[in-house]
Amino acid sequence: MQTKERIVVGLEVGTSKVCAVVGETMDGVNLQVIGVGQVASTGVRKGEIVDMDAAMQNITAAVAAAEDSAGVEIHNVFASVSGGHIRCFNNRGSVIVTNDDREIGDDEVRNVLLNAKAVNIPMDHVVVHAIRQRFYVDGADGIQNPVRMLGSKLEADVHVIHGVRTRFQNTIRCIKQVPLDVQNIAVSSFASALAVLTTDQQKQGAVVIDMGGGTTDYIVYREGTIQHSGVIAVGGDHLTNDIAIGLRLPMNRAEQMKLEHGSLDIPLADEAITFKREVGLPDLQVSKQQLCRIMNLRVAETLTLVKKELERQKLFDYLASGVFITGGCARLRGLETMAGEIFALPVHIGHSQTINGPTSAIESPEYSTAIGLVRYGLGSQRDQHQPPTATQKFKHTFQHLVQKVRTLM
Amino acid sequence: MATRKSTTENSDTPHRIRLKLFGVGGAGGNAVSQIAGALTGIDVVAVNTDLQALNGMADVEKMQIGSAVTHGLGAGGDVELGLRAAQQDTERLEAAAQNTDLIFIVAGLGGGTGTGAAPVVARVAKEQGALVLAFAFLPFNFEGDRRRQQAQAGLELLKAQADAVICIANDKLFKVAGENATASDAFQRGNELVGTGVQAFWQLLSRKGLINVDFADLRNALGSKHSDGIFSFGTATGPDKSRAAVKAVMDNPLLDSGEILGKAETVLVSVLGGPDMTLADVQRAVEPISRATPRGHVIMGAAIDEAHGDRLTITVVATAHLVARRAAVPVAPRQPVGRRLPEPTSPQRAGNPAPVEEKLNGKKDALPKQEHLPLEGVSRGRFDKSEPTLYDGEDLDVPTFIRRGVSLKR
Repeated sequence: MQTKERIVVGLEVGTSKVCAVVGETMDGVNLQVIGVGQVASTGVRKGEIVDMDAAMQNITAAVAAAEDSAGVEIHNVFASVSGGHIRCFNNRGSVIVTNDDREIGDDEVRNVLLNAKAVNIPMDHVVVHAIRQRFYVDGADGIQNPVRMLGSKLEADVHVIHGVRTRFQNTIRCIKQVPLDVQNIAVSSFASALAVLTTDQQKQGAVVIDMGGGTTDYIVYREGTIQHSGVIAVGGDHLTNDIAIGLRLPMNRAEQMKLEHGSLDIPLADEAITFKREVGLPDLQVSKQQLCRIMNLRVAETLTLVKKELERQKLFDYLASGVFITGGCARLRGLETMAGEIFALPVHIGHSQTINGPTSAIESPEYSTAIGLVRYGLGSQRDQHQPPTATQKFKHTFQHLVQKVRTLM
Repeated sequence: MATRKSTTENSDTPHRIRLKLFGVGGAGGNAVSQIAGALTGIDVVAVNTDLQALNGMADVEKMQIGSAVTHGLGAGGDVELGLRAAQQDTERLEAAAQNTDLIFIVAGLGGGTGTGAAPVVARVAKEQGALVLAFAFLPFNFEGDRRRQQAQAGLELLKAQADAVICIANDKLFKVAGENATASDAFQRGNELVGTGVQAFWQLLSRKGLINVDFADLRNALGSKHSDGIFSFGTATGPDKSRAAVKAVMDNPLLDSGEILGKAETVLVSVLGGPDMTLADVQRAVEPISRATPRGHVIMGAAIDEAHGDRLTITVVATAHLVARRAAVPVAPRQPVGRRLPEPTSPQRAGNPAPVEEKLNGKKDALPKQEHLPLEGVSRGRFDKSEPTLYDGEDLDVPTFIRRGVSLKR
């Protein structure tokens, strides 16, 4: 099926799920989600791929599901990356304007951004994003676009996000084997923020915390630009693991406990949760209070780590819009109250606000990274969209067939 | 909101809180005699084996202990001697501790009397029904290993007895006083620090505040929890005094630049200002501290002292409960794995039929120990084979409840 409209696909290879979101735009500005495909992830731990084959199969299945639901073929995607190795910092670059008329042009802007990006990062690291924050012309602060201004010295602040090259390449390679083209990658927190925050909220200042299955990614907007970001490799998996260890349950039981009975409010009166086991084994009882205590401690700790980071960066006074929590863990009961107590800021459980589509997709916090990727893709694509080549198409159709056969078998 | 006038009225009511300050040993005695003058309304008792040291003191009630053991001399750095001396005079200590709600004990650890006798005084005071808060000076590093170990052993015992122990490391005093301070200056600063600490509690409780703290609150927060504490204060003047005072509190070397507040479970914030102190001042002073204490229960009080003028003083006492930390043991092997310190049992063997901690807590097990988690024994579950997620030296893959030492009843 040849598409006239522009299709943008976001693919998140996450710890708990692999999720593809298909977005469609008519005018290049407004986006509509037209399809979602999701499968449980089996090859990822703490946001990074640990089993290439499993991850590849998951991706294939998720993309196939997305194709079915959207009724389009998917050839290329925007992928998210995460993991504890991702680091960030802010840097300032500067150039001297050498034109005779001292007018700042696109060249100067490009050069100053390059200069700001040219920083010492570890040998094995690669820059994923260098996001411009603000410009200075001859020291004058707060300039958003210096093009056609006059000045002798142009400076720019950028937020640089970098991480270990090979680990990003693993994700890309895995997707390419499917085979799909990776148009670009974005860190999860950035993608989530694009889905969750409106421009106004970005301007007022906000922190987006994406608590996913394996990692907690956060990003801070101040005065409309990204000021800080980070990844803590702790997520919903850790909650399950804590429960499994604390209550001595197998992982799948612990996961079920978390989803069905878990809450961050520790009940004052204890009650027993009884569940049946296989025939022949006696029923098992679990204390709800302890379940909740284990969860409460873990989530409170993780949020506190984020808070500490914000304090270290002295960003607390710039977050007028408050805290937006998204990702699968945002569904935890009692999270809003707990986060409110920890951050002492308004807390929103993040829904995707910047995109249209079926409510089931938009209102699910766990889709915000993939939805944000669509948004990101739209921004970074800007008329780069090319129809897929014949080989790609062939490969894809073939792969699709294989997949179908597999599911049939 | 109580005014000064009501203070005088209140002072005769039966609910008035009765405080007593015990200085145990040489350093403790010196400290209390120095600060006694500033603390009106508190009975101050100096307890020592050394008659000569006691004689040199003014303004305090003096109690010589263990005259039969030491013959009026000091304990000479012998902890057992200090312990025996106190045990010999338990009855007199009991009498002194009777009818008191809150007892402060000030002792310098590392020597004989302070280290040996302070836990006994704490036990006795506790048995008389008082809430016991101890201020312990820890010896300088340069005083050597033996003294340090002795101090640590004493501290363990003291922590087992007192409701809260606030440690003041002499090494940190140097930082407070500055490199060039004379020795006597530094010690004086230390003593003042204790004075300020006692005063902070005193102000909180003595019903002349803008915002009062109940004794019951304090008891709830500290009572029988064997807390471990740290303490800091700051004073500032001028238009932005609240913020400056908070900064001074946080910058105080005693507080390890505020980091410790994050770990605290109970934080006592006392704000003392002149008559022109506004509620906004109090709020500005307390808020950053509460913010720095995510897990903690913040007890705040604000008092007005006319003599204080334009100044604003913030005193912060942060405590973490030992019981909570101790509970980490159930997941670890029961043996005292990795305990670095010598067993603090030697002082008790000296003819004490019932070791102090057994008497109080019912079981020997309840003695707090210096411990660290045996890392290889801790389960990481499904993350066993993955790269550890380290953050500030903690492996976040290990369940939080294990690292926090929260015990789960089964």
